[in-house]
Amino acid sequence: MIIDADTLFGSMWPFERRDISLAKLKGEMGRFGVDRSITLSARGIFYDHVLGNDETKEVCSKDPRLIPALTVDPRLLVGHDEEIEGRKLEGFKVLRLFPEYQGFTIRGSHVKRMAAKAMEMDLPLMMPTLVGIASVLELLMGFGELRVILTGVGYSDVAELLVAMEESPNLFVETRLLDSPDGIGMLVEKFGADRLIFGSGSPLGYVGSSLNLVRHAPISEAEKGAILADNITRLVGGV
Amino acid sequence: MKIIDIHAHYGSIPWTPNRGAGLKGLIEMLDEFHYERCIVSSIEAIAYDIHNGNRELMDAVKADGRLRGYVTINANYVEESVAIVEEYVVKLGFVGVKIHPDNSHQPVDSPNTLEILATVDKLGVPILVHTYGNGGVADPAHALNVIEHYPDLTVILGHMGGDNWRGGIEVAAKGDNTYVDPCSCTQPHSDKIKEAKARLGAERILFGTDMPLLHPAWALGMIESADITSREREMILYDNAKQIWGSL
Repeated sequence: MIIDADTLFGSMWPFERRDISLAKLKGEMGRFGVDRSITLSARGIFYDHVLGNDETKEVCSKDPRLIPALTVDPRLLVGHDEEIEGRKLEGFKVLRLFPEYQGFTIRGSHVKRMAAKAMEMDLPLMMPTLVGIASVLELLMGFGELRVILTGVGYSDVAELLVAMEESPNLFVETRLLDSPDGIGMLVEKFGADRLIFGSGSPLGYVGSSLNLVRHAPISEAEKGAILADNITRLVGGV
Repeated sequence: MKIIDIHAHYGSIPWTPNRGAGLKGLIEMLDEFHYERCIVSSIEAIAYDIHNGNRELMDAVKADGRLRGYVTINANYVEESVAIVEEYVVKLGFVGVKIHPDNSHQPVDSPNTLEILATVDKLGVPILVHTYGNGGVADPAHALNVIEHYPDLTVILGHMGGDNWRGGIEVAAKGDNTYVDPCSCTQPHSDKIKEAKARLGAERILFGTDMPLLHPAWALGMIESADITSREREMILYDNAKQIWGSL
């Protein structure tokens, strides 16, 4: 079983002509044997998160292989609590934030309020490493039961990550860019496999490369299975 | 699937915890991915001391028949670099020259580098240039002047320009003997290889990995995932390098 925790779909990639269609996402899933994808509409990232979450809900309701992630734009603030709570009840599994596109800091009090709601609703937060591992750790320390999945952790982040994962047991790592030869192996040896989550960024990112990193990691088959599917299943309470 | 990796390194990697950086780790990777050849440059020579780094690399290359060496130059030291190129290419059999503008702060078209390249051009071995970004010393656009000065020199744009990969492809399109190697070009754009092939043809794309800084599985995944034919995959992974280096 392979679950890709980091995918999206949409009609337009605003920065350049790219095919991020649902058909492309599903095509990549079929090509690489991905059984489930946690996904969301890019409309919610770049335009209106309510419309985007509606689209995500509709698409996922038609295909059981697609698991809905919601997003909320902190710049709007109004109605956040209701959006998060309502979407959780509708079956959304993860709350994703996109500061790289929306230009906010996760140290803002409005983001902390959202984090509190995510914790209350038992929704893991997913956000890119570029927000700063120190800031993520600060957030985790402030909200004891909050769980965060960091995406796009690269080799230059590993040293800080090792310390942050020691500090907080609720910090999880997506494996897409853990691309040094023993990046995954080292984290598994130190913390076990339970805190690593497979994701690819598909259809923007390379599913083959992301999968290869896990398949060639110097860890057991059971640990690979945990990274590829079991951990995210447990983290979101079933898919 | 036969593999020639034209962009790999040897030596300690001080920027990230990495236990695969010694000779043992390197050889394990060659075994795991069934490499036929792997052309490596010294990390110490790039980052610090060209004398010690290249010398240590020589010892490593001797230790495994699948390894070949790039001699690394530092364009701040013209006479020493010329002497090193002559020694390592002519006497010791290294197969190319590695240039890393970010570490020397000398772009590949600086007067010093161009002076050194006169010797490289005369010896007829390829250069592998670290290219990354837009506007800095490693901007692939600097290679345009090299192509103009030395049209017969084989120029490999390492990382294909990195986050400026479209710029790298355009520069490569300007030279008949210019190639791209997309290793460490990890920005999320799953059509990079397809676009490079459309602009340059598959025959101008080489397979590099940047190992052991990065796991070869990443770059291999890019080639395996690319929307190209099986024949084109073989060309990128193996044939194109054989075309450049011959017997290697």
